[in-house]
Amino acid sequence: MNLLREVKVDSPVHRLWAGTKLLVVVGLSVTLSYFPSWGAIGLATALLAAATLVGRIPPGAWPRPPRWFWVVLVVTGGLASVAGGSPHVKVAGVVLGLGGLDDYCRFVAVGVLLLLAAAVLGWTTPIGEIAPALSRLMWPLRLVRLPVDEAATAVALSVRSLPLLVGEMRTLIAARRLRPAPARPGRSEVERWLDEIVDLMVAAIAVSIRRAGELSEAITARGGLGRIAARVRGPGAADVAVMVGTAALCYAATLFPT
Amino acid sequence: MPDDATRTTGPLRPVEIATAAVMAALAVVLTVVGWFLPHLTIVAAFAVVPLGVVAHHHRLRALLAAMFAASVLSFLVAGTGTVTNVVECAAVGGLVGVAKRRGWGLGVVAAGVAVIGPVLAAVSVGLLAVFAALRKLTLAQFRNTWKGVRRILAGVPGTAGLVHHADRFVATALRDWWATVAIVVIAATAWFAILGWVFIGAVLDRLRWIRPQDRLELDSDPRPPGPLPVALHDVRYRYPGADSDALGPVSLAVQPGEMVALVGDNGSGKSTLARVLAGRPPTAGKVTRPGSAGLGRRGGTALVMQHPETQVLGVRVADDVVWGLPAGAEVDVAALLDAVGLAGMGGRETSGLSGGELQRLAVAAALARDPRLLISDESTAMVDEEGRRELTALLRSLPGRRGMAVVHVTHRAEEAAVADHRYRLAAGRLVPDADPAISNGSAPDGAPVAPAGRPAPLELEGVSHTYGLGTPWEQPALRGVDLVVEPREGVLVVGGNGSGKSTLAWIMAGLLRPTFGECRLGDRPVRQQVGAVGLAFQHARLQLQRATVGRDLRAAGAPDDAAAAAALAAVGLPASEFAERRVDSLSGGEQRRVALAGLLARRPSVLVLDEPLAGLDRPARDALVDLLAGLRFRHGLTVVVISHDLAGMGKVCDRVVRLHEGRVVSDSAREGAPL
Repeated sequence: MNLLREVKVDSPVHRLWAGTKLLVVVGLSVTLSYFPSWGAIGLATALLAAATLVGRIPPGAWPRPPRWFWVVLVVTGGLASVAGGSPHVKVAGVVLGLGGLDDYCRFVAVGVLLLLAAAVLGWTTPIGEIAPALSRLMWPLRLVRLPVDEAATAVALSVRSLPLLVGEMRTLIAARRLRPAPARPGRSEVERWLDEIVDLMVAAIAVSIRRAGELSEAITARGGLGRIAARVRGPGAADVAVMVGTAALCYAATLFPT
Repeated sequence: MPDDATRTTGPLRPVEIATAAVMAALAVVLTVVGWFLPHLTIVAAFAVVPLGVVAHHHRLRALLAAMFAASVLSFLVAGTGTVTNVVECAAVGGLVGVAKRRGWGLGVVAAGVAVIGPVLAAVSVGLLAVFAALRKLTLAQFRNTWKGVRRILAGVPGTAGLVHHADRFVATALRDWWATVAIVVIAATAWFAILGWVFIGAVLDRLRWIRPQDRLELDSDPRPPGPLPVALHDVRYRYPGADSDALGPVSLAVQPGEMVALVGDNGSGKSTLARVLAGRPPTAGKVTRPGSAGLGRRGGTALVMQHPETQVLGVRVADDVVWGLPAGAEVDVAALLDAVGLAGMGGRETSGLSGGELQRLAVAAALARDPRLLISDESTAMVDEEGRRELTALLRSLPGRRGMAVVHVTHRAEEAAVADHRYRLAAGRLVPDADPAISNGSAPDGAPVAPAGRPAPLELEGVSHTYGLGTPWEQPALRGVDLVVEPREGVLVVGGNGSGKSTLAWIMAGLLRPTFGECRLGDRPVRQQVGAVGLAFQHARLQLQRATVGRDLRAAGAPDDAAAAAALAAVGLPASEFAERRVDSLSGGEQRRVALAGLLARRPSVLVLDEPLAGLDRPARDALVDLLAGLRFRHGLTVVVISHDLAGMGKVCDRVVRLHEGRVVSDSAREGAPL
């Protein structure tokens, strides 16, 4: 799973503040969800294509969906096209209803674009910058006395623990593979299967609790919670330009009929 | 049993936020796996369990923090769909977790579902009402798919009646979409609640005596920090609920500008003494200091601990140095990194550093608070030889450079040799510097667990492996390794950080398919005979996957109780004592042995061990080396040890293979030089 991994090149997109990119992703997601028209899809595609090119994201970074994904895509698409509906098109003397296909393509396009927006964010942002940017973006919530710093620290610690946990899950599954398939004594199949799941979950959670204990000792040894980043970044001129441009684009997207 | 601390108000304590963060990460992993792999969709529902554990052990504020962190992370990885799963799991997990803590029954949980379900349904319907265009598009997909199916079925005879009914049902469901969504959400909530009740209950039951624990405490002493000079007078410490003192009586003093070494084996009380020096109040005796210990405060005490990975809190080196400092405190990060020998590495990611570098980073973070006393609690235990030397030299230099005192806790005599004062601890007391050898675990005996099948050589031919081939995160781990391990040989594979030795271990065990080349056991690839080569991971707990030792060995492949007992005997654990023990009640060393026994239960011909001696003290190491030598010479197993250290394996391994950056740079068998 290569999402949320930074592609380590230097580009103008990489140099943007993480908060800007977060806002762009959220803004695009909301706009596309509210106005899933072809016009909006086209504008969003243009924006993300530009981001990918300017961000120097190599084609190798794109996820490679497995074969069954394409099969499902084609089959559902086929069913949707058979459904018919306006607009109708005359092809070689036969009237085809493309309404179903049109809806389907828009649906798939919106889904893919939403995922792509998050992916571009992950590819162009060092993961350690996300929590501090979030902390800064949430400053209005401080006025209502919500624990913004605590929430940002929780995100930072989760981000920090994620690779350790993924490694542990991999080891857990590998250790399971080293064992033979379960034998078949008296108990029922379902009970054994449930037992196995519980055992694996217990192993995962026991290890996670231990990690949490070590993490909390590390925090206590540092005197408790506090700063989470060395350099506190904020939006610059380029960031403001991107935010204004995205806002304009989102507004333009709303003008197309749905 | 949860303690009264769960009822405190105010900001989250370190143990609460740490548990929330780690469980949130686990919930994200489960959710994302279920999202992207349709045949494992149910895995996403299991995110209820970690979130339920948070709710069980800590207060609502911690659960909300976990939910927020998990939502943000899952949104970034996989979009809004996963966020709905996270929110659902947090709500249900919270309900079940609190119910388990308060002893409520299934009835209360059902009532809770009757409240939460409609609320979540109302929110979902509300969101779908607002995002009308997307909703209509989604409903159109269902309608069109059904119409397509209907068109196709129109040609199939005998289905007309069925199709007609189904058509009316689909039409009603789509027209009254709000009712359909509400029913689906409430049903899903009920389903998650049942899942949660069963599985959270089972997990909590098994882990009853393990809870997230912070063995340190935030300094509650109101005096300003003034840890030195510190004097201990007849200090004793007894852990709550223990029968005897872990420490005491102990009297010693630490002055500024000196390095003190505390030497002792595991269980001698040296860690407890370190904690008392760091500010933990003793259960008897007196500790005199000019001010408070000030753990983590400016001008107070700093603590560097054993595990390099979990001590690091920042994703980047510079961020880690300042982590936890009060907002607005400024430090010269570059100068600190320079002082510990990590100059210019401020922008590097911490996940790429070696153990020794991570520990030096921990020292830099400790120095950021300008401490008067630095306590290193076995900071060299998990580090390779070169890293240990550098770290010890760094610790040695600190008193002279900064006028502070350093207390270094270790089990290695050579590190204590550089200190100004040495104290040796055994069974909680100070003893003179003689060497009592305490054996940890009995010598292995019993009938041999000979390998099943004919002994065959393990051959690696032209093995290369690159992680992420074709992506921008390509990382070559092995480049063209050719190796043949003969039956009954003992091989030590040595390499530093990034040499590819862990990858080699996984390929040898058949768990990883190399991008080029092949690894064969006998004439078949190892990948087709997973289990014929046993691999002991560094983290033994992950290899123990059943509740008790006996059941784990049976699950690991022991055909009957006698075989399980034989495997236990082979690792020096008497079956009568250990067969019914719960795996979570075992010590680290015992867990390692039981994991080994589990591997032996399958009668492998080759045993690969990844860093078997990491973190063990001298007696435990000697015992394990004896055990491995016995497995090789008495039982006829081939033993391959992967390590970053040469020392200590002489009894088991007579061949040394050095790996550097994925290549074999030397092989003592080829050169004819024994170890």
